[in-house]
Amino acid sequence: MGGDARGWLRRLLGSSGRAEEEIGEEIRFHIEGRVEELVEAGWDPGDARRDVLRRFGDPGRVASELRRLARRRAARRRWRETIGSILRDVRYALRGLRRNPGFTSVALLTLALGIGATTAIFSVLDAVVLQPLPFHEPDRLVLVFEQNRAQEILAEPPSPPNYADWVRESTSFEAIAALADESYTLTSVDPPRVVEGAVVSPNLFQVLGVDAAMGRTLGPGDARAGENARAVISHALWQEQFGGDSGIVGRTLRLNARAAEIVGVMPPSFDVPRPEVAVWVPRDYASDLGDNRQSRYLTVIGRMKPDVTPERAAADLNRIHTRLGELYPEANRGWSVSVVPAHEYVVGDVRGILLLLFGAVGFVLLIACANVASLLLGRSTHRHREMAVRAALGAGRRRLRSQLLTESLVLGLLGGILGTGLAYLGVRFLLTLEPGLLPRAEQVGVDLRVLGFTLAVSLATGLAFGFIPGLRTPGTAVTGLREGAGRITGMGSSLARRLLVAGEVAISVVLLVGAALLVRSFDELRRVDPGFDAEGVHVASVSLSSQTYPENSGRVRYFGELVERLRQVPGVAEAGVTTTLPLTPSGIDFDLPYRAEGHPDLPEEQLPQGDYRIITPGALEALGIEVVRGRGLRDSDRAETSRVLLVNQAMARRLWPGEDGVGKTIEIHYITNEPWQVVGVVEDTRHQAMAARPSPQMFVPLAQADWVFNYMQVVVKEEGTVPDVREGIRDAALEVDRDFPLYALTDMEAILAESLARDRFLTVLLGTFAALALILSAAGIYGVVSYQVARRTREIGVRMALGADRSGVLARTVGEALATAGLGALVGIGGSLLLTRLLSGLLYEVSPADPLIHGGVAALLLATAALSAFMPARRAASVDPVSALKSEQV
Amino acid sequence: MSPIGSDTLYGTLNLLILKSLADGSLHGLGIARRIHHISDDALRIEEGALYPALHRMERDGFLEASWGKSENNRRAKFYELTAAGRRQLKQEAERWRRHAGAVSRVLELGWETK
Repeated sequence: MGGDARGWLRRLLGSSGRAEEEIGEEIRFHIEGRVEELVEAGWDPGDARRDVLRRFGDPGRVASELRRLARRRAARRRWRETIGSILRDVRYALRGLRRNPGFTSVALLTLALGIGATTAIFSVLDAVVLQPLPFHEPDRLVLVFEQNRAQEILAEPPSPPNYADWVRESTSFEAIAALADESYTLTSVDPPRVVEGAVVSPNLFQVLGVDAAMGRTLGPGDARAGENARAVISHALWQEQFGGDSGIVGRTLRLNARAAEIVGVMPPSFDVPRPEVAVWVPRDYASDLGDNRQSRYLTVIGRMKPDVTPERAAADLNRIHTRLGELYPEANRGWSVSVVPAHEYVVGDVRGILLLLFGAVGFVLLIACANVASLLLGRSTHRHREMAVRAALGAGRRRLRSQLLTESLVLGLLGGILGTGLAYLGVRFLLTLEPGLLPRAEQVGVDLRVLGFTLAVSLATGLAFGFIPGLRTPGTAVTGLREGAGRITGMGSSLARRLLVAGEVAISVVLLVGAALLVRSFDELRRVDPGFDAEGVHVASVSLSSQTYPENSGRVRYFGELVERLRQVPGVAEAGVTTTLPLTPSGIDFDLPYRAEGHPDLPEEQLPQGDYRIITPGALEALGIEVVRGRGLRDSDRAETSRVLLVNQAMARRLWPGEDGVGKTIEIHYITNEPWQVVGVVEDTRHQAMAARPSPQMFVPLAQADWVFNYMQVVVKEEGTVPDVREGIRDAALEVDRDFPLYALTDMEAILAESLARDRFLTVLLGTFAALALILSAAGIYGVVSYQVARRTREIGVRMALGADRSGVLARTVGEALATAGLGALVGIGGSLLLTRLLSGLLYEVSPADPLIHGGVAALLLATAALSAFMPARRAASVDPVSALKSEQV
Repeated sequence: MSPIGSDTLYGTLNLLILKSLADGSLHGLGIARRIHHISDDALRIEEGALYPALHRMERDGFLEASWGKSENNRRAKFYELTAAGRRQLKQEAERWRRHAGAVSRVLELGWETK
């Protein structure tokens, strides 16, 4: 051992003892030779040596330099040898792969599918979830919400006066910004065009740490310059409306007919609060707003001081808010503050879904690995003789093992290269399928980080499936030869392959159960009656400016005329205006406390709340929401007539169970508390989401509302007689007021489809992965059974010669496969009962433990196993005993 | 620091080694004697510096080394030019002549006439 260690040490230091000795010998020869010369010439030997050394220089120094050179040469030689041996192994592996095109193509295809799918999902996960937000020190950014636990309101936008108090009193923030959505009509273009905008506190850009691409962002002075006097515009608007004019800064933009000076252009990547926003206009929310603390509509973003945690920031704000609750009980009692890290806010919703998909795709990759490992196992048994010969010819155990490992790694890397190609396609497919659900989706792509991940996965995959066959590298060269390759039993290999197949089946069960649950849930969702009829219904938004329409009466007149004009458009069956539409976030949607007839008079903060809608006659009719009792709204319900409203069935049921409801009165606590009389009860609709139960809703006529908003939604039902009714709808609005065009024109069918988009996305992807898993497992089972049959041809022949019948052989072969698959299915169901609980939040009306689905999936896999085993089993049953016994081949 | 004085001297030493091996193989001491002799003692180098130069040139493939018997029957390491070494000698010698020619012209005629 000691000698070995010294040799090893010398190899490490890179110079053999022999080389050391030769260096000394060469120098000695020189010096001795010189000394002899001088002594022969009559010098004193001592003087001669001194003179020679003086002329030679320090022999020790020379020797050490020569040793250094020798070490470096040796290191370089070893490096070359290593590379050479790797290259030899790689060449050998490639040759082996070329020689077995069947094995190679199946293995590569399997790996490419597994690695490709994993890479595609990782590239999405990476861009959407893992990358930090594109702001300065994004970890310090948080969003601030108000919450009311008693009313189960978890994240309400704060009101401006509350925000103003936080700005003044908080100690844990460097700065807090606020913003609100707004839409503007660009009146400087013809025809006028509506763009989305944001009214922001001027410090928004400093809080985010983002600079303008041109000009500057907003500053405190801009808010004081007057409403809409200054604006920052988006890169997109700059391109579309100004053709990328480089002299844009300083020019004016007419927003709602008012001149705004453009002070800067944002970079194309800037997407706060949404990518569609085209103008940012300053407002000092901290000082110039009224005192309505119940008017909650701000998005509040804070930059915490360094080393402040979100928890500490929340505690800080809650300390202030508790006092605000005492000072303004009617608005703030029961309310507190919640603080959400910005990254969490942006990716929170999709992180779970993407991690779920990543997990699923990881399972597919595992199955792919198991399949290839199983193939390699089968091959390694075949190659027993080759290995035995090579071992007998002197190839060391380590050498053979490293060669087998090289083969696996080469296979993994080739699979990775093909997989990267598939991933490119996969990402494209994903993004076309993606319904606008993923933030930052435009940044998704196969980049260097992703390629690094793929490389790592490919190598890990190669190691994973190379590991198991590698364990069985033959060391028994001689016995291997003596036994003769044909008769090697390979019991270990057979058991290992069966276990691999059982594992594949187990994983497939988990994936299939997950996918089946989602499919069932999606089917349930699709069958839900939304309560409205989407067919032929067009919708749009309209947004008036408060300068042009300062009074309620003017807005009532405008919307009345708009509905009137729309009804006259050829091809329009019915038209109306409403504050909000089902299944879409656009519109004004809020709850108000109410007191209903026959119910106790509670203090206002304890009153029940209901969705408050303002509509014109025709809005519900256009949506096909039917009146089930009483009557609908009429044009004759006017400001001067008695106040009437409609409620939905959910509200009628809650308030007056078992009664008609029509004729009862309700006080809505809003600007005035006057009572309204219920004149009709309408069908329930799915409003927040298809999966959300209908909530109590109240509909008041626009003509009688306390306050008419300048932002409303238009609903038009077409007759189907005109090919494109939208043109007419657009023109009708311009005829009423040219400055306020309709925008966001779409139809309810698109909205309905979009509301199911997340579920469809998830269902399609998980379904794809599950199908992939099933196919790979079937291939795995087929491969194992074929191999068993081929190997046991002789044994089967013997048995049949001894009188076993064909159906017995068939049953036995299929039965063995079924036993393996059954074991896998059992484990898989156990696993899926544990894992599908992760899905419960995504399922509608389906239990994650649904016995039918679990049983069905298990049956499906067993059937697949039986089918996959049947074909090779038939081959087994058709073995001719005589030729099988004669044959010596495998 | 390399035991050899300067880069120029180093390049020159290589050229001298190549030249001294042009007529056949020699051991290190033989090369030292030859250089000493040809250069007429004009080039004073530490003899020890010869060996790193020899080993480098061997590494670079200009020389080939083998152990053999010296004139007084001792084991010695002999160096011999390879084909690459001969090419290198030709090139280096040519470059040196051009260089030396240019320098001596300047010394004789001065800058102006150029």
